[in-house]
Amino acid sequence: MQLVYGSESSETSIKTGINKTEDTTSKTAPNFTAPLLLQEGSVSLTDFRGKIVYLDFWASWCGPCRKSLPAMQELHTELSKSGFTVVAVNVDEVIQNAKNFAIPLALSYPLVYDGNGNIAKSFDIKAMPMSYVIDKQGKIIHAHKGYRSKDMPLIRQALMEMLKEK
Amino acid sequence: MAITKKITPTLAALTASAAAMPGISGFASAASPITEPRISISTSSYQEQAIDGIRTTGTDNADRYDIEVGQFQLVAPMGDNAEIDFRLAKDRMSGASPWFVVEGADGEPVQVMSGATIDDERKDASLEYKHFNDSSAISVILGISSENDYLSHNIGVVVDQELNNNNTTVSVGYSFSDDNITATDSELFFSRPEKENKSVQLLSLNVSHAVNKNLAFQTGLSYEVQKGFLSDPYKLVMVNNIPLADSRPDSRYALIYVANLRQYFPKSTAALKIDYRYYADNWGIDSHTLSLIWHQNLTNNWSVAPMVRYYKQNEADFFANYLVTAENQASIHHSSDYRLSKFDAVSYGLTLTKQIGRMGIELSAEQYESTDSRKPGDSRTSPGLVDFSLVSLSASYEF
Amino acid sequence: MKRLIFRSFILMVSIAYLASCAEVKPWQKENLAKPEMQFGDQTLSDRIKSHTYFSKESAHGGTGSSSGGCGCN
Repeated sequence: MQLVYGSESSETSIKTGINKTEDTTSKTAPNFTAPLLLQEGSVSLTDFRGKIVYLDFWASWCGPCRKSLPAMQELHTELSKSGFTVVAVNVDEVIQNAKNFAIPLALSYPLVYDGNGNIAKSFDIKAMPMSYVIDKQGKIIHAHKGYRSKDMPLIRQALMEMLKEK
Repeated sequence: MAITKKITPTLAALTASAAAMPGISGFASAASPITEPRISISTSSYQEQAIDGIRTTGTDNADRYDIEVGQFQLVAPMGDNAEIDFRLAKDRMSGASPWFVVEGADGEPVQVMSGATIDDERKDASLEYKHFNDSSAISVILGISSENDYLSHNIGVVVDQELNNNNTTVSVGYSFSDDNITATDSELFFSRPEKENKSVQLLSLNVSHAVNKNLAFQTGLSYEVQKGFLSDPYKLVMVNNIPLADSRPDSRYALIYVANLRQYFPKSTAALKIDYRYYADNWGIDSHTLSLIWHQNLTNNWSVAPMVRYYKQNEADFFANYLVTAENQASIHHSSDYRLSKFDAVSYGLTLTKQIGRMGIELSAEQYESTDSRKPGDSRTSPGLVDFSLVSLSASYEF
Repeated sequence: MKRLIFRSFILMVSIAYLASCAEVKPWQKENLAKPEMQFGDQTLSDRIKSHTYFSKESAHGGTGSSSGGCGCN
């Protein structure tokens, strides 16, 4: 099966604003350093080099995020030992709303706070929620708009395939 | 690039499916389906105030309509791309209603109320199915409303299309209603038809737009066509002191323009809602409606929303409290229905809500007053204008 | 009536035009997503209010709810 990103899938995948002519996928994810939402300290995207990262943008006011955050916890629990992590970027303006939303969910993956939307801007996200699969080299290989429960098995399968690769 | 090659098929499938994704949330009506089912129930009490004694006659008890309304609603997601909205409503009404108008002793019109108390029940059910695509949605609505003298079937279709990265939504809707009227006691009253029919078609175009992160604007234009029996079978008009049946044209064309605004004030956690409507039809009625709501969020998930609404219309060309003419004008259209007269009305109200976990409770009260601006000798305004109060208590639960 | 159609048309076109220059980003839509910022009837009490106005006034429509006919007007 011949599949080249940028041809067949370019129409359906999501483009970033940094280089408008280039597909988001297969391009290096913009790095960021952001404070953790629930703990002290901060993390950078580059801290996860060597791992496959599922980067998800969410907000407390976004309906589908109620479903996507726990669903990603399942992925994280299952795959985090094999070189995978979920990183969730919150874009709430009021940090307390994000905390109130996230704490009861008891999520074990890193949650970072992007209150002024700078990270969201650098990824030029097109919807809420929106997520990206970033490979071990830091390249975006998949952009995912919105959340549908039936996509999760596919995402899981794709991640498993990626993780099997050395 | 070995990795990418290997994983491509699954991700490619995903990427393709992501294009048909409803997950666009936030502004605009076409958003994604709700994530959790929600049920709501509501009970309302509607009470019309009695007309000022000197302007009414015909019944010992001048009490106008009282209506008790119960409503039920279920909204539920159907998979990832659709939702349904099922509604049931039941009204129970009793009371007297304006019948015809006579000339009083002082030359001013006096409203005669229906002698017998009317008791009726209305049941209304509707089901909406809404399917979401990447940046559009289509809804199909089926509804039925039934009373002992009235049966209405309706169907509607609405298509929403999102534009400008989901900052603009264009909606086009069409609905059709087929109504059958079987007036009660038609064998006793010459003026009441045995069986009549009317149809209502409505075509509408609405555009809503997110102007900035705190301001949204909507404007719309609708065109409505009513055909068939549009008269009120229970109302009469006195023509040369002879009661004749209410008689209206058998077609009505109306144009409705709306402009609505929502402004959020983050510092005061409040929203200002302004709704304006202009209505004009070929019966000669044109009307302005303006409503303002200040929705104030408070601590502990309380909110309070005071509301004020102004309504104004002029009379239909064929409106008359009663007619005195030299010739027999039985063939001409005429109606003494206060709803076709010239009037304006102010209503004010308050809505209080409290969110407790997954449950929402709402108490809403409104007082509606037709301004008593009728001047002596003004034949364009009815003596039967209505004042009413409406109180609703609702609860909803999200699963 | 003709003037009205014309005016509303102009207004809609200008909005569509405005729409093309301003843009609210997906992560900035918290306030716009609030229930009090939505158009049309939202709650059951909104619905019964619209129905009541519909049965007591000549002007109707424009609230976005499709409500069936009734013998109430």
